[in-house]
Amino acid sequence: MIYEPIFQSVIASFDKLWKFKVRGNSLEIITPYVTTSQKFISVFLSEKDNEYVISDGGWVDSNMYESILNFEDDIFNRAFFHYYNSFNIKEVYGFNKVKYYYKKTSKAFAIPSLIFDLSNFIASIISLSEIDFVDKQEKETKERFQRTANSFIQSIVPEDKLELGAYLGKNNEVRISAVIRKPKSKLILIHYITGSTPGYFFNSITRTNFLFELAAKGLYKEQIENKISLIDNIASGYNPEHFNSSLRHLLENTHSEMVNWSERDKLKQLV
Amino acid sequence: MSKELIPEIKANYAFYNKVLRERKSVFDSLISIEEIGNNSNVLESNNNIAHLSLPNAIVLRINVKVNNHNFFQFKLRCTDLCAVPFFRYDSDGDTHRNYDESIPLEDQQVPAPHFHYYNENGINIAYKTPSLLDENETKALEDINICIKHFCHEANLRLNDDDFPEIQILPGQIPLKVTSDDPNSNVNFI
Repeated sequence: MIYEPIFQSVIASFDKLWKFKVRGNSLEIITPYVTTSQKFISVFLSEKDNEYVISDGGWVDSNMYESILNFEDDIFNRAFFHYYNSFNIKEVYGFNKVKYYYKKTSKAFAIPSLIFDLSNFIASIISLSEIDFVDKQEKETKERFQRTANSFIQSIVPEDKLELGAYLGKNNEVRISAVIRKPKSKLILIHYITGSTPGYFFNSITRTNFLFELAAKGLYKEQIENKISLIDNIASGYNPEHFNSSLRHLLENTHSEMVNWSERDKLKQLV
Repeated sequence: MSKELIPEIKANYAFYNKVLRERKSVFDSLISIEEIGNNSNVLESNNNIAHLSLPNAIVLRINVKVNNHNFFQFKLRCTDLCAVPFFRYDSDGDTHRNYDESIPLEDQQVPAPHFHYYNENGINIAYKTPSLLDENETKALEDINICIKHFCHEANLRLNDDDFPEIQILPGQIPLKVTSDDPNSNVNFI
């Protein structure tokens, strides 16, 4: 076959993309899978109690690939869970509340298969996060507020009592910006409201209204002690007069409270 | 190519070269890294850098991972040029692809540690210096205070005349070097 030398050189070239680094008791495997942001995917192999774990090392959640997963966006959310379910991915929280995506097996022969699936999954979701499903300014506004609000809440709530971006219920439908666990299994829900334009800001209010309604009817309805909207009142889309009636509707309809970002210290009393 | 291509750098490449290549000065002889950064997993410091012919300051940001002090980044940012760092060093982390069909595939892959700069097309390029291709020197460069000198050479950055700044990580605390390099350790994979 005339193409055999070329085929052999393709294989050899791909082979050279596999690299490794020893990290304590784990092995970082640099794979040939790449994102559209030009990052090669690394996965981390470890063995414990006769089981092999392949994880992302917490790199997706700790922003190692410099991509923020925008779960607030419905299109992103649906696409993400398509990959998550198709590749049968598991997740768990590790050090400093960093989320790990992983797969595990007790059979050594299955390791390549798990590496294949996890690498494909990571490359897919990181590339997916590069797509602007919403306009750039809106994406940046949301990411900025999420980052600063998360840091603030982390500074006032003990780490083991807080879950950021938490799902309530089975079907990953209700995602709340922050959930705080209180004594006697009670929960406080905090959802962020922001937007780069009045239109996006209004959508954020209606979405919060809807999520609080769903939460009040869902699995955890008995446990919910309080629901709080954290309002980004320095966002460019915020206009207090414009949103007076819709914010009042949100508070009355869902029996919730609101705190403006400029008065965020009030949250300390509420949580 | 998304974030890998920065149009402002492509459009102002002569200016980019000037900012990167010409001598810059750092004023702090001792840089303390103790603040938590945007991301709660990293410590951060920001220090102003002066460039002879630029009115606005350049900022040197240093990030160190909270649970692994051998994992650090040096980033130079100049908001007159673009929002992202225009030059940087990663001691560890993801492996970069220099997307260029004119070079062999395996040569497009650049694992950390590596530097990043932008080429004349405004594309982010990772590279290793001869020191980073040498195993022993790479080992020595895991020390942040040796590595900052290497970074200063590459970025043409000096303290006053011909000296380099010293870095202290969490200076107020017991000098315990945290080097948790194994990301799977202490995680309960249920």
